[in-house]
Amino acid sequence: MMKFTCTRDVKTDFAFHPLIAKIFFGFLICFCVLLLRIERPAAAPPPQDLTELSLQELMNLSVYGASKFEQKLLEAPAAVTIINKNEIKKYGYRTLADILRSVRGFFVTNDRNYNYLGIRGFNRPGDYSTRILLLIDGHRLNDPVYDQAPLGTDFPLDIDLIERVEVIRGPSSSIYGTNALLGVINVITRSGGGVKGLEMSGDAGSFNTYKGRGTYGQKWANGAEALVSGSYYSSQGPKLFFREFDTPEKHQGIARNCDYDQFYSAFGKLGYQDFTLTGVFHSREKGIPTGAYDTVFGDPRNRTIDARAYLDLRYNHTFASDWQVLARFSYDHYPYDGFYFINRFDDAGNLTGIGENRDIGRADWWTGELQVCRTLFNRHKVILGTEYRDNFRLEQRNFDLTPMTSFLDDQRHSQVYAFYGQDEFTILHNLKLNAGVRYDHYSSFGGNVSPRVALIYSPIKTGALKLLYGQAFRAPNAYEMFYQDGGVTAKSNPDLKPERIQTYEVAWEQYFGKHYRLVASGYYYRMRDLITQQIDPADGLTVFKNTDRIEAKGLELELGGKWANGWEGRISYALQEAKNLQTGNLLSNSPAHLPKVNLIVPLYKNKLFSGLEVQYYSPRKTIDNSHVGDVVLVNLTLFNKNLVKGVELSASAYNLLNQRFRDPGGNEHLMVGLNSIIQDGITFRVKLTYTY
Amino acid sequence: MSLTTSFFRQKRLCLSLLLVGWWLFFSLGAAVHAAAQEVSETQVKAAFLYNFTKFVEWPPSAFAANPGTITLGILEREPLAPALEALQGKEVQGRKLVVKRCRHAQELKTCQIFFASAAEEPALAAAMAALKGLPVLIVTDEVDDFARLGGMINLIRQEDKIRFHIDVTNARRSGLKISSQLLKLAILRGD
Repeated sequence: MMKFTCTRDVKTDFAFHPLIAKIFFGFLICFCVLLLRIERPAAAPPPQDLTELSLQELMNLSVYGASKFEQKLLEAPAAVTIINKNEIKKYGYRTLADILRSVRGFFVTNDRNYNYLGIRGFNRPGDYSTRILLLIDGHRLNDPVYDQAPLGTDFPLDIDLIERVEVIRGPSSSIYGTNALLGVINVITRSGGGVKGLEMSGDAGSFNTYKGRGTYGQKWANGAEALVSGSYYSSQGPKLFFREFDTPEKHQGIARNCDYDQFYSAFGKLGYQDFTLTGVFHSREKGIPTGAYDTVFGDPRNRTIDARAYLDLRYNHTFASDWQVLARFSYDHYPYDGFYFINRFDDAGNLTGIGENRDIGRADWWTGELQVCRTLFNRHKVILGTEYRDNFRLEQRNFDLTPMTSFLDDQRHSQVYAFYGQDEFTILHNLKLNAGVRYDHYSSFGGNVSPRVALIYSPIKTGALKLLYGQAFRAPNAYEMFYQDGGVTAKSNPDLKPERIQTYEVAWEQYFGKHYRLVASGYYYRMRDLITQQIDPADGLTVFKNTDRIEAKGLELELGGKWANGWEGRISYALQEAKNLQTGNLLSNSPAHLPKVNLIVPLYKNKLFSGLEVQYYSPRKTIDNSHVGDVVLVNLTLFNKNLVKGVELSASAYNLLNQRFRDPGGNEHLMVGLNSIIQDGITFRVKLTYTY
Repeated sequence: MSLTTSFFRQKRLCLSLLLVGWWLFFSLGAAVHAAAQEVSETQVKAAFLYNFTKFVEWPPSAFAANPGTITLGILEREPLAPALEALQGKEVQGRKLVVKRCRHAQELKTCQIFFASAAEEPALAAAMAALKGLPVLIVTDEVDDFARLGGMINLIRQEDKIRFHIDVTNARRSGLKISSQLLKLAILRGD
């Protein structure tokens, strides 16, 4: 009852607003000017013959151009974006959601309980980012009960522990299995050797928001490496006004102390020779200020607690015979607790008091994975792998306290095994074929095959044309299959099949000039058997069915630049249209236009930097045939390092233009009269990090 | 209605202004960059290679066939070839440097230096295997497991600077002596 997923798509007339076209042309002009800009001759040209320099002098030179790591991305069978820790600091990112917001074509919405990521026009209200696979160092985070990808303060890793975030667009089920429909986000953690010592960090922000972190990392002469870190975060949250609830019974629409947010987390990583052991623990408590699910508005006891814990042991070895072996064994624990306070009425309709409802989800699973990689006949790089996952506890409960009434008490378990293979075939030195396929077998519904083929052509060393085709799937989760409340509002559907996506994509990536990178891509995808909550006309109960079919197409453009003196930036534009073929309507919460700008400017030597972000969301439909207006978001951060040795200081303002914008809500909000949820205006943060 | 329209217009105006501002910043950045000293990565790497030769001592047997020259072998499709070929004719330890493109691993055996980029994998692994135990200085470019493959020096890029790793054991096995001056500048393995 509480984790609703009901999506309605409605018609509006401004999906491609003519006025917005102006912005598009503005961008085009920008692109053209940028391309035509003339490089000035260097004021102090470097010596003609570098071999006359000593090694020490050579080591002090700054080099330009794409690094090897960046060039390898050209060969990847997908359009990849990397955000590194330097950008995380200089743009003042607070959560993974903040990072992803800046990525070309991505959009994030917030219902003041969770954050939801949209990729390629798909972010239906009520979807817990289940069509995106989220990984930490290759370890899967989507849980088997709700498939949720945690992106906000519920993301289990402190943002300061991120080395870089790799965003892989498009279907990747051929390697990763379920959830990898629209993209894969792999968060790479920092290494103990990279921290090298003790790091203390504290920040303070608007609405009494505070965070503290202590991290110790080291790498020893024998190669052993360790990193341990602990964080605590607490936010009182703003006083919120909901115009929809402006009545005396609902405190004139004012929710005080209801938007609080708090987490504590611990992270540890030990590495020795070929072994890496990672441990993660994170627990977050978030107040629900929206009165969602018909809970008592303004009652601060309405809240959810989501926790994540896992242990992951990885073995990575390259044998002398050139075999590369990766083995992984892990154990995961995910508990969710929803505390919902609901008005109780007697038969005559008089208010008798407030009752407490508890919604509970529990999942425990272990995973084993083995992968071997080898180059054959000089032209084939072959990967073979197998994975086994045992979801030995999938529990869902829903009950009222006082009097104790159980609506749901469901215990399940399920197993998945999979085999996959991929071959990177170098046909010509500038032409590669990357083909892969994965077979997954679920104890619940049986088998599924996911193929992917990519042709990568590099007529010049600095550029690549990619033609991609892939299929991906998502298996129905325990919530979709087994959630029911004894016939009051919802019923189960154990016969659900997996939903599928087919994607076609063309991408051109090019490094040019000395400092620029250009990416242009177009995609088309079709989703079918999309698992969607519906109301069964026979009995009026909500039930999940494989119904919706979705078709989407889009274009993306990005120009990035980077200079050795610290200037760095990118400008991107995404045009997208996603349609529900069942109804012929455009999807809700799917902005047609997403222009973005990011820029880092060094203000004083290598010490003071400014990070500026501008993001525009065109109007989005809500699920009740209405819309939320467009918005321009501007974030500005001043970042200082080494003014005092070992100290990093930053000050950020988010939503600098103080836009009072709204994000579309899900059915749990619409049922109480909220089609959209108010977002924060301007907020601030200051942060201090000290490294011993 | 008119209120909403003007509201939208305002937003668009803000956006345009910001874009123009951003644009000025970017142009400015490019102008400022001109003052900073920036050079091509491939040229710097070639210069590094040339410098390394000053700090390495080959056994006399390495020059038995051709005492007057020192040969740098590279693979057919070496991406750094233009920069490396510019080193041709330079003097190294009283010998003339010759740059030779090799089609087969066998040809590399007569060289004193072998240089290869990661981009040349998998041909790279085969070539390095063929050189095992021979007095050939193997320098690689961004090859993570260079030591396992038998390499002695590996160039890497850290942010915008070039650094290098040294594997002393592999050098010793091939009868090469690497000066302690060079070791001091290297990132030690396990660092």
